[in-house]
Amino acid sequence: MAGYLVRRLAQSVILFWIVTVLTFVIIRQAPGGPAILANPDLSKEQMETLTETLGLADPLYVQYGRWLGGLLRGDFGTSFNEGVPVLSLIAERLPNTLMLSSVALVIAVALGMGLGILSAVKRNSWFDGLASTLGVLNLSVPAFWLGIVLILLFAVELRWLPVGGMPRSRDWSLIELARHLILPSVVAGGFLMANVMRYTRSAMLEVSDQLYVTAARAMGIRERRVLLVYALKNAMLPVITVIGLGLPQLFAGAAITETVFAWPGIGSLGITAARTGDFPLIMGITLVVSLIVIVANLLTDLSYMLLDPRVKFS
Amino acid sequence: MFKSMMRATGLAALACATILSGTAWAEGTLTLTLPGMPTGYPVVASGGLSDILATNVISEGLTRWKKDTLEVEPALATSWEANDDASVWTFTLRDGVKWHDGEPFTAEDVKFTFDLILNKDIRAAAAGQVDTLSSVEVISPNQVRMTFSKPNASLPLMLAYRMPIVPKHILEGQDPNQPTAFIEHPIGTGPFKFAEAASGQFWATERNEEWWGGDVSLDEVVFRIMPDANSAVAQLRAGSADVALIRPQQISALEGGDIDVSAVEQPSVYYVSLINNKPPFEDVKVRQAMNYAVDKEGIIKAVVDGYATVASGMIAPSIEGYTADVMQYPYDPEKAKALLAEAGWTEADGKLSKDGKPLSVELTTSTGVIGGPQLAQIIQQQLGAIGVEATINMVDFRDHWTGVFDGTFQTSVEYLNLQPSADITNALSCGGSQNRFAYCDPELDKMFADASAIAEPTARKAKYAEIQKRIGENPPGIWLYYPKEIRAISKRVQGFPQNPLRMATTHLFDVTVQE
Repeated sequence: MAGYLVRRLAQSVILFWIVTVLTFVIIRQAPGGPAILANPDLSKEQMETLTETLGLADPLYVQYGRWLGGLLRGDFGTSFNEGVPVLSLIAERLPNTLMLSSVALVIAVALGMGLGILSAVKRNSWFDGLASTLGVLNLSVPAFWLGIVLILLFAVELRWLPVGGMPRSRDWSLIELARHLILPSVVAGGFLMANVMRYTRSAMLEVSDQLYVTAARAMGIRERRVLLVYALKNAMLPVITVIGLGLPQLFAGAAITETVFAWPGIGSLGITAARTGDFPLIMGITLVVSLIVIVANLLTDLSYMLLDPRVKFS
Repeated sequence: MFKSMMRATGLAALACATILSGTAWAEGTLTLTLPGMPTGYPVVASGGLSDILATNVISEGLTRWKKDTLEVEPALATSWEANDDASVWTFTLRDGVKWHDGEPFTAEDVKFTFDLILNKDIRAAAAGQVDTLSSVEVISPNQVRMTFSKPNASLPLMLAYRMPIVPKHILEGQDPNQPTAFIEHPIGTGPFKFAEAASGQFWATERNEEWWGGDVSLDEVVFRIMPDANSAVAQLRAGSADVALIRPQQISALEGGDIDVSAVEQPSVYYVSLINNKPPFEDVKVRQAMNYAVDKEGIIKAVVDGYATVASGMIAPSIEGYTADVMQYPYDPEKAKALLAEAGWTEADGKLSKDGKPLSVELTTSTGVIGGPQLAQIIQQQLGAIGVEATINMVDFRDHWTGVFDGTFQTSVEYLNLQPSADITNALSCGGSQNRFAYCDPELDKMFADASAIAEPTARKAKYAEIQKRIGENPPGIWLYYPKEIRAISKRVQGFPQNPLRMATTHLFDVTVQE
């Protein structure tokens, strides 16, 4: 077990390093370049000074070496656009993304599992049909479209909810925060919810044919207990996998959701950074997000062990 | 099981209903949407619109725009005087002005600001505007003298544009290229003072009770960051934002609501620079022919849905000294062909050539020019129609801007934010620091020098009219259009300035928002 962990951690570090190299090379090869340089008002001399001060004049490997050196000292560099340290921008924005993603995750898992179990229990009923249809719709509708439609309906027409953003500090209250969270978290979690629902449903159907379920029923155990303890626990393995795989998606999806809802998270920060060629910021965000994804995958793998004692790591 | 879930859903719905009755933003708040976070440090701010809008609200220059026109009026300077050839200027500063932190504003701050702008190690956004400034001296606590190497009659106009004064007592000792502490809490002298900002959410200012200009009507001016343009329109419709710049396609979404949509011409110009020392553009007849060959009205319809006016030069109609009385180049392919024939280009099989070489034009552009690729395609077609072999060269935008000056390209499809004065010496004189055309007309250079030494406005205007006429006959490139900004403003807002937004936010102090 300990050996396994050490190996996984070592793999993670290498993976992490590969991600930084790839990102570093790709963003610099991408067409465009830093928007801060796309300013026709700059003279040629200013352009050269600027390129110099931003550290873009050196060969790529020198730039990478300098960036990596800074990173090892805990210095992520300074955002081209905002002129403040990348780390402080990320520190300001990351909690918002974690908040949005957690709420989305809770909604997705709770609703997804609930609806999935119900669909399995009421297999082939009208409810099952409706839930499946909604699930497929949710999987196929793009988040930016769904986001805009929900905004138009709930914020513009009905005016029940804010269009986007977060409450300002002086308006801050849990209720205000919840109002701002509802639409983005539903949109952010929609995809995962649909997946969790489908997997829960099919896993539940699969295990309900198993002998131990039949045996439990034969012993006269109440149906609710049979479903929620005997069947569900064994149906969880594929569902956990889906959730684990869904976490990175939740983060990736947050980029779109946050942009549409002006949610000040790391996703919308990343989109802006990518659009404006803010190299240090793109690197910083990639680093943090890949760290989260790598850790999430590791945790998913470890959680199998808790759920299924037959799974052994060596 | 099912029932209990339904009950839970019902409870949840009830909880939602309580949550749904919400609060709006405070009264007397003007909310503008921006696509990205602004930087409140005007000296090196990228010159992007977000930066200009935000710094204008809290900072002030020596002069400022009038509310609705691009004429100047006193701001931090109350009066100014020039010597006979307008090369030495003395500014008298306003008494009793305080920085937002309570420190007095003095002539030292003015000197400090211009020293920053002139410092070659600092990427000052306005450096090109005052590149002939040789020194700034403090004469007394409320007087400064600026000495230029050349006459500079339009100085007061230029000072209103992107040259806010910054506080010496705060910035001294900070990294002038990146004063992080100042960026996090910018200080100015303006009618609003910085209140708070949250990355990706808002950048908020509140009324400066101590402002020298007296009462400020609004309680606050807030910039909300809306990276998605459609969400910004939704904000307007929901009443949670008051002002946004929108795209033509979004106008229909705002019709019939509580929003006024209007178009304001901007002092910017889209054009094709024909590099004048590259064949075949040394010949003025070829450059004129190119102007006749391009259908500017058609381009305006196709690229910006009609939201622009045909351009006739580098001085926009809103700028003092502009004249429409210059040579115009309406769409006339036949005339274009005739001019090319005069220049020795002969047509065979629909292709133009001279001495066996085809007339080829490579249109360079980049994604840094909004609409640039589309413009290049249309122009390629139109030039093709008169027998020019036109191709498109898409480049990285950094290479684009440097290449324009390096003479790497034969043409460049681009745009410029025009300076607010008719003095375009930098842009069109032989070897001028902003000359993107390799344009050189020694006679014109003399006229530029004369004009910039005329302090008397009427005579100066007449001189600039002559200058525009001369350039009109000898075009450096193909003038395309002056774009318009489309602004959507809530009907609750009263007294919003008529100037383009990049100039308008200096004048928000008497705007009101009705509830």
